[in-house]
Amino acid sequence: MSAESFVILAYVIGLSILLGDGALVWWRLRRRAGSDHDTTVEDRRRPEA
Amino acid sequence: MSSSTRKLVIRAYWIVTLLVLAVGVWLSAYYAPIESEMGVIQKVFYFHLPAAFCMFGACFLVFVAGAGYLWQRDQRWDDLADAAAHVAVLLASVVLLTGMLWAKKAWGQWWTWSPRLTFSLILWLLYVVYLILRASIDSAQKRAMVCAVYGVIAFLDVPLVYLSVKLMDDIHPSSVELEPSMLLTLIVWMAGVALLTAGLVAGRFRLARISHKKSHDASGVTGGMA
Repeated sequence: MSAESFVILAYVIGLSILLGDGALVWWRLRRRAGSDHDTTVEDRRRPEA
Repeated sequence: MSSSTRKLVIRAYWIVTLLVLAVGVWLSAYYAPIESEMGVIQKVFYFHLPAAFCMFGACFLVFVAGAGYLWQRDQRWDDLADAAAHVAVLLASVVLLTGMLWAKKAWGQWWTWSPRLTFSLILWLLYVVYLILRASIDSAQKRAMVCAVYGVIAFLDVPLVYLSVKLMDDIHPSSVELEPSMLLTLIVWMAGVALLTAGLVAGRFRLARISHKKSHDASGVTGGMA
């Protein structure tokens, strides 16, 4: 492999780890927000039931 | 701050972060000159060094949060330490992997047991163990206390990594002379990786706060039902 390939690999691996974690956190926060919304809706329904 | 404004600020923050990183990639690819001694492989440096500095920053945050918890016994300090430790492990992984790729081309080998590399590997292991420790203790208070003490002690390795090239014979250079165009590229990368690190810590901190609040609410409901 050439030196250019090593440089590209270093940047791709490094950025994938960090941005991948950012995407994971963002997805988990969205999922939490979604489940909070579901809980709220469920809680609202409960007294009516 | 309203929820929609908050979302807008967070979105703007991530757009700016990605833009700065994109500019950094462009600068290191097309603007920064090829270094005369090492050649093109030296361009790994623009990512490797900021990742190392931000790793030190994340480790320092674990230390501060641990000390803060021991002082105030506030759960928010423990959540901050949790977030910072995750990011410290990620950054340490990036530092080790980019360093190994650089070493293979520059020195002809993936790894040498030089003081800085050894202390860096120990640092990575220390914070991986920190995360394993967190996952293995069920009681929130006990976990916070044990991890706070561990986080404070684990930070002792950071000065060793930093000072190893100054105090001992090492394959790393102890100081680096940079041309203005190289310095500008490095500054942009510093800003990009610092923004990314702060965003990751903030996101994980928020996640930890929500999880903690949910488990607290759940235990409250159970207690009430019992």
